[in-house]
Amino acid sequence: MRAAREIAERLARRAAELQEAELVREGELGPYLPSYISYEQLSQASRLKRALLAEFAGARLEELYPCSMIETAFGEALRVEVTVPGELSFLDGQSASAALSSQLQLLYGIGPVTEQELKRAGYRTLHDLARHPRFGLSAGEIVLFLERRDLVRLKAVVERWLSPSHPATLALTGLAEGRLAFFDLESLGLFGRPLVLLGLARPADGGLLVEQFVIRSIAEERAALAAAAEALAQAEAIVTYNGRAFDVNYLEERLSYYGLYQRIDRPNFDLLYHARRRFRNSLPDCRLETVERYILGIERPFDLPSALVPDFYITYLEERNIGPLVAIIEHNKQDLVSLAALLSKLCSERW
Amino acid sequence: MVDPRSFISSLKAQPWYSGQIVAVKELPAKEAEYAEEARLLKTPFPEPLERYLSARGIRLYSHQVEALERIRAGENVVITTPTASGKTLAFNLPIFERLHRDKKATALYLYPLKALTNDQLRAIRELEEATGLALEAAVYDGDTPQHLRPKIRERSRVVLTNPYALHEYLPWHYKWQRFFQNLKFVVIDEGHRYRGVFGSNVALLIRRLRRILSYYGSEPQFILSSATIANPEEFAFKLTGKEFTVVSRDGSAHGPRYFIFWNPLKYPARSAHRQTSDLLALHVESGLQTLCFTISRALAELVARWAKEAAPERRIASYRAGYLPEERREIERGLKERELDGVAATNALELGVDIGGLDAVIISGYPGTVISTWQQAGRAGRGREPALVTLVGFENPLDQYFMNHPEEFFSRPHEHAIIDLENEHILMGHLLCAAAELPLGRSELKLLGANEDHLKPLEGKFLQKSSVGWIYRGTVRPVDLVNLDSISERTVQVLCDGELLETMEFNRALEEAHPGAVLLHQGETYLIKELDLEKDVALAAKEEVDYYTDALKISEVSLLRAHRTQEVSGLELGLGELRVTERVIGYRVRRYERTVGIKDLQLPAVEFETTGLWLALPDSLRGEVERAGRGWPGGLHGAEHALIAMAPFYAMCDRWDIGGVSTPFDPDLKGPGIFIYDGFPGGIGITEKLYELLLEWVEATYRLVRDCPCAEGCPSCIYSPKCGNQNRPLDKEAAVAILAAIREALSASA
Repeated sequence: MRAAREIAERLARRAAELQEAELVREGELGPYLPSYISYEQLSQASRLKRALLAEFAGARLEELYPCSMIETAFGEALRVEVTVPGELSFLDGQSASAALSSQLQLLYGIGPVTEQELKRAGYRTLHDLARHPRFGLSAGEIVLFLERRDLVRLKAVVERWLSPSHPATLALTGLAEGRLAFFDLESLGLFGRPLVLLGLARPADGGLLVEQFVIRSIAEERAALAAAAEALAQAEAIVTYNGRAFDVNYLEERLSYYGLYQRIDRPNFDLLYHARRRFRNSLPDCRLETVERYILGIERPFDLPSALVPDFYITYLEERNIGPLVAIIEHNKQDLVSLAALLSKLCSERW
Repeated sequence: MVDPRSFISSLKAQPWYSGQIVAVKELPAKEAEYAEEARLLKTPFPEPLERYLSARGIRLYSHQVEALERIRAGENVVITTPTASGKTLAFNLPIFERLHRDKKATALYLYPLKALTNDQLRAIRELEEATGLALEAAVYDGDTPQHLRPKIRERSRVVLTNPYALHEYLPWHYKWQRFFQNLKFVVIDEGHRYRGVFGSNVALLIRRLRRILSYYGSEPQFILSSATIANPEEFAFKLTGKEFTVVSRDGSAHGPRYFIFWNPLKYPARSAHRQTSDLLALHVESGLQTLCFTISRALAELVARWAKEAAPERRIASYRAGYLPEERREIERGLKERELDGVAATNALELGVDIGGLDAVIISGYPGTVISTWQQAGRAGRGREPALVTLVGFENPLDQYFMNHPEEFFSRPHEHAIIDLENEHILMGHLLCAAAELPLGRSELKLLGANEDHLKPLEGKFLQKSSVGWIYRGTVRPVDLVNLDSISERTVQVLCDGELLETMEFNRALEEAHPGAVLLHQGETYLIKELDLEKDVALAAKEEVDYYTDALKISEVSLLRAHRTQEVSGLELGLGELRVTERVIGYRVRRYERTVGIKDLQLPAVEFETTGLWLALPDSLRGEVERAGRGWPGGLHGAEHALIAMAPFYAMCDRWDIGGVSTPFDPDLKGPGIFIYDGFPGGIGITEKLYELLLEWVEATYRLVRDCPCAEGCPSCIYSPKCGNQNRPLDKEAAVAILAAIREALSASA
């Protein structure tokens, strides 16, 4: 028993070293810090954490947010639900359908040259082409998909012939007629470690309805995963930022960890691809924070760098003080709001 | 081929011959044992395999049929027949048969080294092609390009990998669902390599794999192929946690073998390495295609160069790890097609690389284990032609023990391969990995050899107890906390030109990566320039040096807890937990086995708890020794050195994996005593095995020292190159008397 305790302590020291090895500089924030944090950000975050701990000592989450407990087969999950007002304009089904229909290149055998020729010959849309002797059959198929609003098939077609970052994929989001779920999660690391929060947002009257499943103790993770997966299944499409590689994969991994594996099969529109295509040459990098500041003109009231989420969460657990957790909730909420604003912005541009 | 007897006579006629041949053992030819025609196979193979066998004219040996019938019957099988006896085919046939019949079935092949994985992939692809079975066999490891990975996970039915990769990818099991759900076989090739610290880590990795497999509802058969070891059944059980059937009766044929024991010390004027090259030159001059194993890459090249100078007409090359794959392939081909007459190689050629059979093998320096010696010797022999094997003994106890007792080499069982499932340092790291792969349930602890006492201290920082079991909640990936080559502890990274050469245990690094140390890595020599204990990094430079270094170490032990004790004729024996303090105080520089200098070092002491055994000697013995005019402390010291030197013969380990202390008065034993301990925190099972084999071990050690022709003790018996006390005091006769007394007491009680 004594030996086991000593070994556990050594493992903990080793873990702290590993984490620290990723650090640019040693900070005062504890051991859970990854690399791309500047010393300035570190001390800022450290001040923030201290302020939050002081401000929220003894406070309860329920006093701050409208909370409800969601029943799942695996216990209760805590949901924080708020509406964030804002001017957002997404495509509606009709204009989305029209935009897609004008993309003749969605057909096998049609490149830019053929498209020009066809348009000159009066075939301006896929609906027109449905009468074409050669392309009629395949155009008819896509028209059918459009009528059925078959997002999965349409997305596959667009990504195959155009590219995942082609603006036409954004038009597809319009076919969901507002049944979109913006999705972003917070975790203790990059895969293989628990999640601490799953955030969803849906377009609502006058803004965005933000729904966050907050994991107050790791033992609640399973129920939160189940609740979030169910909420995602309600949507027609998911919108993420780097969610193809990260958020959706991670959710599937955690579900499978608890034996709840299911494919998150809603079409996932990953705006990172679009941001890269649009802003690669005008921005220093394409992280959401950067896009948000320079393109959307959003300044966050305080800044919790994503990389410090694990550190804040561990402090929340160890200090039994919701202060740092509040920062995570707000951080995640802002990510969702920015994500929605970004889609709105991209959809409003002409392409 | 040249008649071996006349070759041996011609050897003896050389001007440089001066009685070095201390023994020639003739091992008779052996006829092939095929499976009896009538019951060749219980059921015939499916057509594609049948076609393959008949097209190649393959007739199965009895042991192959035995293995494959047992595999067909669903048993876990460990095959321990010698090199080149067709082990691979014996398990590939039933696996392919199953994969042919069951279109979803999959198989996982595990190899200890990446290079081997690629060799074996070629063999499996050939079988796929020849049988027309499309299994999409693929290697999946760190070198697998990202874009190929999803396809392999989703479609391949045979996947080859190594334990390091498996450790890394196990947390992603859900992406392997299809493969794992249908997994019918796990093949562990070169199984004997999974011993000691590495083996103990892999044993836990395999238990983690089994846990995940049972989660996906599969319970595959395990097939282990291994060199001949003394304890295949126990070993296979410890490695996998499964019961095995051993297939060891070799049915393959070979010609007569002549095993020559060459003791270069009989001719001190010429170094052992020079004599090796003389032998190699004479072999190839006589028309014997020969492979010469050396202990380092520098020596491989030196021996090849000298032999070329002596036999300029002949084609002689060297072979080692570090050559480009194409270069190696070219040498392998040259050997196979007999374009090369001689090759000096490091043990890189000992593994399963296909080079066909040679006429002769020279083993320059005992490779450390009987197992390796037989694997290297197994390279000699072409069909039923006679084959020659020469073992050149160096100036150290094990080598010289065999030179003085060649019959021992043939009559003793091979070493015991050791796996320790009880090392908590190893266990607890894997518990974290397991908990991060799937929540860890209480009922699963047994499979991993753990109990709640191991989990309690991990709660909080790493684990959280919940209704589904223990959940991993750390913020680092636990697989990064566990290094399969070491015990989860402080480690030092050895870097060369900014690249990671290897990772070592901290205390190992003090001995092997101190400033000035010559580090052997895959047969290459590196010089350590700096050891930074703040960052735990050692900087190495690749340099071809012709000398070696041995760290000089002093140790102290104190007894913490005795697990087992016994008293026989006034001698008290014990096994238990010790606290060891070791300090490296300097190092010795050796060139060609001769000490050329000693340098001091200032390094911190290391302290750890480990398993050890002790021999508490009666004071009456001291009286006897001293009355005979011999030195008592020197006798204890010499006995301790010799016991350590002989240990690898019983428990497969490196001589440096264990340490020892002897003292005329130990406060814990309240008298004179000798301690021998595992040089790893938590112990790794070596001294435990030695304690089981105590009598045999002491007996052999006694004979080693008694029969050494030296007068006052020498590096071949009681000197230790790592002795921090400069091998002082040492008294050979007293050591013999002490060992004799221990042996007598033990055999009286046996």
